[in-house]
Amino acid sequence: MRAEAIAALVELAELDSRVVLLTADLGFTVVEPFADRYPDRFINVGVAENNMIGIATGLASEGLLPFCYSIAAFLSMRCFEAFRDGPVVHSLPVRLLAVGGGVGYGVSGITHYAIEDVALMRSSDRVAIYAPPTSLACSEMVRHSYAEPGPIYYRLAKDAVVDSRVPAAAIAQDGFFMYGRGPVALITYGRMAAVSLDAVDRLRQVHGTDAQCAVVARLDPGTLHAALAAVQGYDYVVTVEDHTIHGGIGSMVAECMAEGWSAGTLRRLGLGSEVWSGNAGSETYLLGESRLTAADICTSILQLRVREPSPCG
Amino acid sequence: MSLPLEGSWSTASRLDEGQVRPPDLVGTPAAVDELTTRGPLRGRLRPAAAHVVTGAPPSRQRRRGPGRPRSVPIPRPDQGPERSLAERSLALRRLVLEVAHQARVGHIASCLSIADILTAAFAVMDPDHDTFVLSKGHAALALYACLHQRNLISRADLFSYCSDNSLFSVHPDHHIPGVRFTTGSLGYGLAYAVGVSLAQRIGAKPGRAIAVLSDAEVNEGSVWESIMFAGHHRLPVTAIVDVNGQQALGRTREVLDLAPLAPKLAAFGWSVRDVDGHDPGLILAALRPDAVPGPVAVLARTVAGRGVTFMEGRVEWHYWPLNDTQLAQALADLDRPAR
Repeated sequence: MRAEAIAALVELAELDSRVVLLTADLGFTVVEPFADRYPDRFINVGVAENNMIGIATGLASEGLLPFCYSIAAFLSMRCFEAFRDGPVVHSLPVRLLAVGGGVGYGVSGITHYAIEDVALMRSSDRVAIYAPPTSLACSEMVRHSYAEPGPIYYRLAKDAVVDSRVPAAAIAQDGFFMYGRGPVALITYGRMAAVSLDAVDRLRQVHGTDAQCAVVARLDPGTLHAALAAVQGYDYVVTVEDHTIHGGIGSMVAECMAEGWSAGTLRRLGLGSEVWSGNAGSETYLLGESRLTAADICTSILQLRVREPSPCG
Repeated sequence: MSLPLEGSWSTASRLDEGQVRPPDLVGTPAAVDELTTRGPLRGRLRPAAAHVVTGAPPSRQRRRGPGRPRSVPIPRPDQGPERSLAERSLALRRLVLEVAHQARVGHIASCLSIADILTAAFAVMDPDHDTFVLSKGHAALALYACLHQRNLISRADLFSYCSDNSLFSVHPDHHIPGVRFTTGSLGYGLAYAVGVSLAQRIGAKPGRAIAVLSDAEVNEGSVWESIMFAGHHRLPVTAIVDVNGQQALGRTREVLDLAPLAPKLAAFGWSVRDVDGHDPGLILAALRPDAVPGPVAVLARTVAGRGVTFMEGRVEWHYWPLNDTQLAQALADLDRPAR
């Protein structure tokens, strides 16, 4: 997905001389297509995320559109204050290309997991969060949003994600899309979209249970409300995310329910305490450890339908 | 929004439209002649070293969001009789004391520390193209006084300092005319200035960026990230470091010794000028750009609380406000002949 994001940027830079790419010395074999073509608009600031955000703020205030590339864990946490006091306070169009949201850098270990990033970014109502579900949707969303006026956090999967069930253009336009129909409503974003859609298919094919899924790719209250309005005829709501269940989409939906959207039953699925164990592994392994495979999600849903839910996930 | 705010914004828009132009005193050839032949810069500055105001201002409003009142180009000097840099500094200090006293708010010593730095910096800057950042945001009152001297904010604005519903808080906000970057958390102003400088290079646009840092602020690792970057890329950014040797809980040499700062900066590729930070003429001369483009650090040797004897070098005046007696004593102290 990172390669597709850069490819989209290369196209945009051809059309718009304001597009600038910065990296904090990451993106080997990824950023080169841009760097080779636009060397004057590519800056490797070195291993210095705070400085990158400060520089990007200055660039944006002079009318440029700086995209800052790094690993999501570093971009969201290390320089959060620089981001908040810079682009957020000044409403400037600085973009964070945050690669490896969730546990995309699985074998790299806990320091490389971005599992609190959505909670951090959504705490500001001035930051647009984009979490594209596929590589194609990523390209479309970058093209669609790149010139928006305020700061953007693009939460990107590290590797390519292909899923023909996801309508890329529509999701870039609307910020979400609905899949399936049934009494179980899954709500998810980003990397977990494909897994959740697999779960919907599996529920129907293996368990004879109908379900629907809202894939939200723009995590702002307006888009979430639109997505929730499109969720119809459900008994149970299940949120799925590669993030802790504290502050992510599970929390967003819970807030909406508490404020009257629905009196239904909610179950929040996310990365569990397993991520803190120190036992690393592939992304697939880690999602499995937190019971976030399609089969695990189906099991959680079926359990939900036969017993009362626990109060806190 | 408060009324004083709207007043200052309307001033900003008039300046932007070019309908109201205070006379050019500093920055023009005539002003440079005045400074170098009769003023405090006698023999210290060649006219060519000063920026000359030319060209129409770029529309910064256009680059920013529609309908958002933002900072305007760095102001031209105030109207009225020509004043020397030293006289401006003195007037700035007086304003700082009066406003701080009224607001019952501290950070006075930090403001007095940079009074001469601000006077010099605003005298050399090209109002149309240059960018000023007060990275040590806690001395914002001195900046407000300076902006008032340059007719960018009204006296009512200035004296609204720290009152309810005022834009003019302890740290500067970018909604204030003349303030491009909100500061308060230390360690970010230089990176912003570097970014502006880089944008000017990318866009082949004129202008320079000047950031004023506190010496203790240089404790922040992010400052060194910016120092490294500007040195590596030979960006013509200027950092004026207010070297008053004092920080919140003690002397810098006791808390976290910066010395020797000049060779450290030089080792990072910066051109370093070590000057008396209370001689605005010397600071002004030190702000000349290098013949070879690159970052310039002006180490302005200052005394926290400069001008008020009972504050000078006293750590407690980093935070204490002034009572009535202290204000009278401080103002009287300012008026004594220079030591």
